[in-house]
Amino acid sequence: MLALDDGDRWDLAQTTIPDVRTRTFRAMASQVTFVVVDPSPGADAALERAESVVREVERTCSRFDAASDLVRANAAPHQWHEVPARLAHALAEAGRAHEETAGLFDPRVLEMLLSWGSAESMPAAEGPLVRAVGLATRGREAGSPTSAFCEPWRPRVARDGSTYRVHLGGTGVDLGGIGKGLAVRWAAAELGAAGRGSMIDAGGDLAFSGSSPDGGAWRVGIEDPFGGDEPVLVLEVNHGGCATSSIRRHRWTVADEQVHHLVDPRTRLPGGRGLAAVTVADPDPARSEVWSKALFLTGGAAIGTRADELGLAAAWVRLDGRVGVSAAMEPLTIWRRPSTQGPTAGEGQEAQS
Amino acid sequence: MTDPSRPGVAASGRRRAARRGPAIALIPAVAAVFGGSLAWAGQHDPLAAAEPSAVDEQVQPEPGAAAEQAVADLTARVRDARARVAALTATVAEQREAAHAKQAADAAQASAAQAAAAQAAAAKAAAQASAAQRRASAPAPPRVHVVTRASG
Repeated sequence: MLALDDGDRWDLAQTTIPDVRTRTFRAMASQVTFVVVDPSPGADAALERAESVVREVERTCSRFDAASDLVRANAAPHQWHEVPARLAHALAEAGRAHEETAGLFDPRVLEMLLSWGSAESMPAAEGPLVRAVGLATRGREAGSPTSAFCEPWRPRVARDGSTYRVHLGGTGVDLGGIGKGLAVRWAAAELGAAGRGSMIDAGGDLAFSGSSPDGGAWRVGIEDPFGGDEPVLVLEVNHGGCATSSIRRHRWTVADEQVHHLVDPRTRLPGGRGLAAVTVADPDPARSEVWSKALFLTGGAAIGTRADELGLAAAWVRLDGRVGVSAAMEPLTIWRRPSTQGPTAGEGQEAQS
Repeated sequence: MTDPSRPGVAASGRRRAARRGPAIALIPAVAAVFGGSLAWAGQHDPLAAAEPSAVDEQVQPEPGAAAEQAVADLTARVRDARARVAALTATVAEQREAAHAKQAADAAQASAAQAAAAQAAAAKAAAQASAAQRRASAPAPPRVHVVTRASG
């Protein structure tokens, strides 16, 4: 859904709102919605192209579709594979993200997720997922010391005219930590000229451009990871992307211990000690998604410092309910839930939720 | 004794009896002299005073003195027993006092803990009420166009 449906807020899925065109479909295990404000004559074609982009990313980059090109490449990660351009670009972007985050973003966590029995968890319907599996393999026990995790990930992408070939570097990968962000980025590019403004919501991964139906900036609520309709923060964004990483939906039990899908490649265990959710607003939707996960893995003790060092606009909710925002997020924040209001943003100055 | 059937024998017996008389009469005198000698020797034995006699070691007190001694011993025992009873009574009193003091301290501590818990509960309730009041009086969140949530 695009907005809280309490009757006093926008419900942009309603096509009765003048000068707004929407398209909603299901892809990448999420509800995907496009919104175009004051659509131009080419808006419908742009919406069509944008949807095609999302579906193409899903078709080529999903690890849940047995027929996807990524699954085919994962089956033989030591070999070169001819793949569609979309997957080749996605792998190249994932390699860049791996470098930029100093390895905190690592698509090779697929190995861990599979060993923890998450193969069926990711494409689940929206809503909290707590599932017990019988696998006891976890953490460091699951991999050998010689695992490829010890070395930086170096996927190789080769282009010959319109033909792309990739080499995964010897390990199967999961592009779930960047795939949706890339799909949003590429789809947003298609909608750029579709109207006075546009917005994409791909299950929480967002992109904005131009003006909102109000004529001003887009207002974005940050979900309370502990539940409830009221957001913990409301941001105002004119352009760019926004993504949230949270352990609210994807967690399950392995050997009587709860695990989640945000795996720290340094420890090979569920990461983000002390954190329930992290939101990043960045001009690039894919970077928003990557850094929301990487900052989550930084953990509650250092996230504020790290976000400020990187100049990232970030907000986080701790397990104890405190909400913090980075210095770069402050100008975007137009409302805080009263119980989360504190003196100001930053580490150690967060208010109790 | 004279045998009347034998007259010659009667004459010699009379002579024998005449000799026995003076001999028998001398016996007491000899015995007296001998006894006197023993008495004199006993009085003049130089070791007699140095060595206590066995009779001295087993001298029994006279009946009156023994009873007094027994009474004295028993009195001493009674005095000792009373002293021990007094000491034990004092110890019990100390222990009882300590137990009472501990109970009082525990009760005070429990009371303080209860008071602290009640105070904390009151503070929490006040904070919650304050938060609820703040929330109630705070401006409602602005209309949002979209919500960002866990993207998976």
